[in-house]
Amino acid sequence: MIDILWHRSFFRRTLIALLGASFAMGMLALARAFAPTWPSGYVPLVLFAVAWEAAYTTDQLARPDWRFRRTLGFRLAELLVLFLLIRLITLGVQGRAPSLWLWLRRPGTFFDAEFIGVSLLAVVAWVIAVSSAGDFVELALRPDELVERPFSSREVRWDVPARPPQRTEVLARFSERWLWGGFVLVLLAALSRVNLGSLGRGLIGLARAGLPTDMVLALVTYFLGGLLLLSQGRLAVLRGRWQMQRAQGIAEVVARWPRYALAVVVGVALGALLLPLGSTWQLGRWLEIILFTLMQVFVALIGLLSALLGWLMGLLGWPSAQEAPTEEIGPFPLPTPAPEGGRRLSVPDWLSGSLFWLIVFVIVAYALMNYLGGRGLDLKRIVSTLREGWAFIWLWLRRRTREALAQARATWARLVQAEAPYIAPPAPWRFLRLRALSPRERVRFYYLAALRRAAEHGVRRPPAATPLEHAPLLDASWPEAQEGWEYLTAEFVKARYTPEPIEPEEAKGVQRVWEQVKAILRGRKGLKT
Amino acid sequence: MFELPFLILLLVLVAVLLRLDFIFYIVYVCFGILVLSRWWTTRGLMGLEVKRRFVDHAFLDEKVAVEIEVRNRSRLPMPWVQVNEIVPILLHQPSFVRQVMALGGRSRGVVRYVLDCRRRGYYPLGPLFLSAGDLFGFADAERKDVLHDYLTVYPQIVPLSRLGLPSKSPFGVIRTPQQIYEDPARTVGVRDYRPGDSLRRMHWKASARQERLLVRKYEPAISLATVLFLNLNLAEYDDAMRAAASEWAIVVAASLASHLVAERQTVGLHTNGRDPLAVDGRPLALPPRAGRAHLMKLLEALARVEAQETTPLAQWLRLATQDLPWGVTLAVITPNGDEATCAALHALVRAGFVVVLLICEPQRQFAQVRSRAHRLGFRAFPVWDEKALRRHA
Repeated sequence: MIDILWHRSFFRRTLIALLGASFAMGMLALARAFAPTWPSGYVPLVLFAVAWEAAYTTDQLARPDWRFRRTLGFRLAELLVLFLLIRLITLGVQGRAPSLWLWLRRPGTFFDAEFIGVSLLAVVAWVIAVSSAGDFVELALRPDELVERPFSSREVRWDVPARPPQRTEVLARFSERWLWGGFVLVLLAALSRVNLGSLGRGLIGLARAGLPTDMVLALVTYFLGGLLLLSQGRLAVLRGRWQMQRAQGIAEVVARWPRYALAVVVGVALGALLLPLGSTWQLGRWLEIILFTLMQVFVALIGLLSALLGWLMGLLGWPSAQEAPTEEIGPFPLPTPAPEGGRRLSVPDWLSGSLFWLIVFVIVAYALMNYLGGRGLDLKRIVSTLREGWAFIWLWLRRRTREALAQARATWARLVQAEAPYIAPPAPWRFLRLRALSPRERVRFYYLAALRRAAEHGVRRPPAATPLEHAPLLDASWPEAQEGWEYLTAEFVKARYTPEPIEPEEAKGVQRVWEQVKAILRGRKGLKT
Repeated sequence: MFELPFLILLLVLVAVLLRLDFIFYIVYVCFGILVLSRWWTTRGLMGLEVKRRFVDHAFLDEKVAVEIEVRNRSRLPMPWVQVNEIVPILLHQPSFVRQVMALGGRSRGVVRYVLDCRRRGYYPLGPLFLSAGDLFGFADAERKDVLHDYLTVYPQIVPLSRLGLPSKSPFGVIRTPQQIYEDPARTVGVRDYRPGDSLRRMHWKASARQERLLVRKYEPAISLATVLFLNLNLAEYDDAMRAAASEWAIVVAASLASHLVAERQTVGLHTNGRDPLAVDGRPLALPPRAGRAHLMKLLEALARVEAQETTPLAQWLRLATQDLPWGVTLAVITPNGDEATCAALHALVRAGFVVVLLICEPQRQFAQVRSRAHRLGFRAFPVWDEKALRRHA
């Protein structure tokens, strides 16, 4: 029993081939940087084919009926056949016929520089493909995991695998190799930019030449392909777990997995194209291209519509646009692409640079937090401790400042009070329009206005006294207005402290009483004066 | 596991030191995938809605189909979601149901399984765990959905002949056309309200005074009611067949209740077993009523009840019969007929009840029990079934 679903995956095999071929392509790009005459057209295809074959053979060797072929001799023979094929391809590309007589007399002529170079690159691609495919063969489900076992709680579970395969370790091994391979590829990319003329002035003076296209392609393929393979590894780990747990529905998830992984990686890769790269501003260029394309589509649509309209009008017997005695309209001016350095979306360099460094800072901070957090350093705790410390200092500062301000304010008030005579504060309703107030507010106003007048006559309401407690004092001060004070107080209490509705008529009644009280107060004032 | 943050840091370092602008593109891709994976997993899992659908009552040996619907409310697809449902092992083996599914945006997945109701009981379904993760191994999330769903499996009902009882009612009480259970004109007292009591019996004034719900107790005129007393005190069962005999006692109670309701008699149930739904752990007590609806209530209670170490029958009977009207037939289902039990039943006979003793556990000296019961004024019947006991064991 074999994990057919896993071993026959064309998608994964192709990804492995791309990984191996792209690494070898990086080496080729480096070689071409030093020797530009090196052939390149057919080599990537050869490398991809070799890597694909290596992955395929590794998968096949996992079959039980191929177990006797799992030997070093078999793999060496496979390499030998590949070398012979490469020799034939190089001869075909060079346009030369195989000269057996020459090779017999001078065997060294069989090994020309191109053949040796392509063969070496093919070996690199082959080795990477074999090791990666080997890892994925290990990640497949084992026959003992695929056996359908009856599930019974009373059954002795003797047929459960004694030690489930450590797929996480296998995946970690693969990802580590991919990571360091990527690092080497990046170094190769850096080396491919070396301007030989500047070597004498030291490596720091590396020319700021752009990366060769084939190197860019190799880098992108290697990293994106690697991420997709990581996703396949994750699937293998989960499959093993689900199989062990007897979960149902695994096949459906496995079938959809490559689609989702591809969509995510391609989507993120396309999104990343819009972000600034160093001093460049890719977003601006992309926006320009998109806007230009949209404009072209719009112009084409307008042209199409006007042609259609003209044709229809011609059918109805109307004079066509050519026949109409209107002023001649020239062709719609198509926007011409801006010359280099000319009319371009002008984004200042400092803006793109700032954005770029901001993004890099965020990425580095996030990656550091994750990396250190995974090693037991509780960054959240450190951050929260720092935040708590800052909050404590901030509170202390605020409290001190508030105290100092209060003290200063009190001192100032004391000074002012000592020097200036008492000035009654202006009534807040001095400029109020009484008709604009609601009946409830008017009742409150009349009472408070009456109190203000009483205060002007020296009968102030103590701050702690309620209206009902203050009423006897008012009655005693103006016995002739006793009824009026009682009425005003009761209405005020009702308006201020109860939800009972106050009708406009009631407010008018209060106004009349207030006017009577006011008149009495005025009379007292007059007597006094 | 693989450390993508490490790769990102390494690439940033290399890109800055070697002034390779293009490497930042790789950094963006790796970072984007890392952040997207984490955000997607958490958000996606929170956007899942779970519903469980099934028929929550079943008879013995029925199959109950359960359907768990997992709906993805988000537009984002979920590459994988694992549903892990814990199910009662007595109804399903293994004791879990696990399924993985890939959910597209705004789509749904269904997990189906069948419960084999081989044993009566009140079974919780769940909890249900949902696990999800990303495509690359950077994020995993788990969610526990405590869906409070229960399945009630009614106890087995067997014909009286299988219990060794005569096909006619063994209790000497026949339904008469002039049955009068209680005379509402003659209130003899009040008692606490119990679920099922008619609102017409409520004594509102007394309830208001006492600040608890009270109902009137009427003086019985002619009582035709039967109350089943099910003894589930584990200490009184034989150690070797505790589980089987207590289960059989429940089967006997259910069968008697079914038979009496079919005979259009009123039946009540008192048990000292544990009811998982009892709020304060009080013994289960259902007053005598007639009709199919009441029978289903009785069966539901018998489905839920569990044997436990509790008050011995002799003590519990004294308390449980306090509120019962005079003349009621008490069918006491218990594992043995020892002297204490017989003495307690004799007291009930003297109090005016009609008592029938049903022994559900095999007894070697049953003849002694029968003669003792005869002397004390009540009848005793053996209702054990060796085959059934073996089955329940």
